[in-house]
Amino acid sequence: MSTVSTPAAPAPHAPAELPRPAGLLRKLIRRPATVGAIAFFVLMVLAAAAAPLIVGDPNSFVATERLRPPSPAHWFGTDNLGRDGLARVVYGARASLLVGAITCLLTTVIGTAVGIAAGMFRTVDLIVMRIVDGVMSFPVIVLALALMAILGPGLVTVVISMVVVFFPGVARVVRSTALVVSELPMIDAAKSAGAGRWRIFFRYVFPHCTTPVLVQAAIVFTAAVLVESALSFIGAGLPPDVPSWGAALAESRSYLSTAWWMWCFPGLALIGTVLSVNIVIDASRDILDPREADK
Amino acid sequence: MLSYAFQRVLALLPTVAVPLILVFLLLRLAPGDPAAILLGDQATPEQVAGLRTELGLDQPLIAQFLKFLGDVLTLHLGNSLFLHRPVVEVIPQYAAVTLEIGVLSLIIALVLGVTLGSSASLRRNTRRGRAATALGIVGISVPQFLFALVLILVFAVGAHWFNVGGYVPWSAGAWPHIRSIILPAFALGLGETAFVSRITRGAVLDVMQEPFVTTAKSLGIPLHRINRVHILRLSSLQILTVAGLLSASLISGSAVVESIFGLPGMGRLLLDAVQRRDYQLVQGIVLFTGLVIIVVNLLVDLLYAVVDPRVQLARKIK
Repeated sequence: MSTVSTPAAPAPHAPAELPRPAGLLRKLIRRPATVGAIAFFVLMVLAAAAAPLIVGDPNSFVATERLRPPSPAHWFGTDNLGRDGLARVVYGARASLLVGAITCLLTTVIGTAVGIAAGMFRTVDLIVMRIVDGVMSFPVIVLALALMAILGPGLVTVVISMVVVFFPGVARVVRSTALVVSELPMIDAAKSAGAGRWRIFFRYVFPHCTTPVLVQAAIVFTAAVLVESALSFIGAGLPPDVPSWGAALAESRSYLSTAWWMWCFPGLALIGTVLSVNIVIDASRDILDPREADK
Repeated sequence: MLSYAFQRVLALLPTVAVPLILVFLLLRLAPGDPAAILLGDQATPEQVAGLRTELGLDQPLIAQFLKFLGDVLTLHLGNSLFLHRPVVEVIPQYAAVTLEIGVLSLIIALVLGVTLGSSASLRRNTRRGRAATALGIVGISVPQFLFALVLILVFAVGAHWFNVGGYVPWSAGAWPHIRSIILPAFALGLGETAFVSRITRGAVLDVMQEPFVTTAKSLGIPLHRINRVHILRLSSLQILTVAGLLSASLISGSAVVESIFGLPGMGRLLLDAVQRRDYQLVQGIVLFTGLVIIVVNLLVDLLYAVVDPRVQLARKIK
């Protein structure tokens, strides 16, 4: 779907079956589709990281080389201003992955902290989780636009609005996993051995949350990449001088039928990135929820 | 039922607080004097001072907030700086367009999504079923604006069946009007289709493992009847629960789709208002959006209790 909802990761049915991240990764690489997806994603990350080494300046243009189809000189063609398509797609990966990564990181940290607080203290649970539910159902693009009115457009505005709407998802996952794990016999055992509240939580309960949190973080990542591209598309995202897939697609609107390469390559890069992460998420869920795997 | 409804309304109160606080802070956090921002560049110092007293900006923050709450409750949302009309009058007219596209796209998403999702789960071991599953995961990876571009390319630029953009009101005739909103509704709906399809798939797979399905099978009830009467009916409940998320994502999507097709809807209005720094209008739209989301969630909760007798029953047992 859609740009913007982040369906919560499935509630773990049997906490005893929750593998640690390393175990999950081992199982993931046995699936060919997942390996392909991971390979594509790693390629994207490498290209984004090494952008200045593999392509030229994305903003340099040759006025006489406008709207050229793909050729050995310009693999992805040139756009309406005569800029190299490949360079813009590679630098676009930088913008998208950066926004995705920052949002993902902040969301996970804040969400986990709130989730832990809610899992440990009943009062926090009652008050905070209700507010969190409210924030969660607010349309992220409306929030981003409203914040833009205060803070002005740019990376910070985009990231803040996404963190606000997406952290509740992580908080809920941590909280629900914590509640399930708290019922396990090992917690009673720890209590009777005299372990304190904090020790029980961080030593026994929290480690079980890491895998579901990683899955939720991946979901947030895909949502963040999609929302950033949508905001850049309507001109409310990153500043116009930063190459981004959304902005490239917006520019291609006037050349839909005459210059297919202008929308095709940024579009494929965007879909490919999100799809590769989604494939990994899907496979992880299958592995995490064995009931799912039998189906 | 009434006490249940009252309980749900109470539970939604914190949800109301979020858009309210956001809107209250919107102006006060913006750089510069809020009164001067509201009045724009051409305001005289006297006008600014007048508005500052009128909005109570010289009072403590708590007093300001109470006054703001009062204004919201009595629908005193001020005038749009650029449209020169009360915000309360402007919004409904634009919201109607968004509502129309939203409802149409919701129908598209539900019909296509439930078909695709039930096919993916009921026929999961056939080629068709696997294709439906794959389509679902690809679908959630494509942003709505890309659907919009492809639809424009195929059906407007290529086939000339529809216009590339632009809005035709009902007054210009039913068919021209519908022609102008079909592509936007599909662009918005296709993105949600994949989402609905995945929820349906998961829900159907869950219900298929319920004991009563096994019982029905052992009683010799034809499979298509079990699928239709027992499985899909119960699964539809789970689809209902995501309607709240769905409506939020429709509103987000409408901002993008409306600006692509040039439709005079809420999303477009918000984008324009933000770009023109028309704060009163931005405030009004954010509040209105929050209200819509809350009402939708409340309706879903209540509908759920009506459709699923177990919700009521569980309460009685308690």
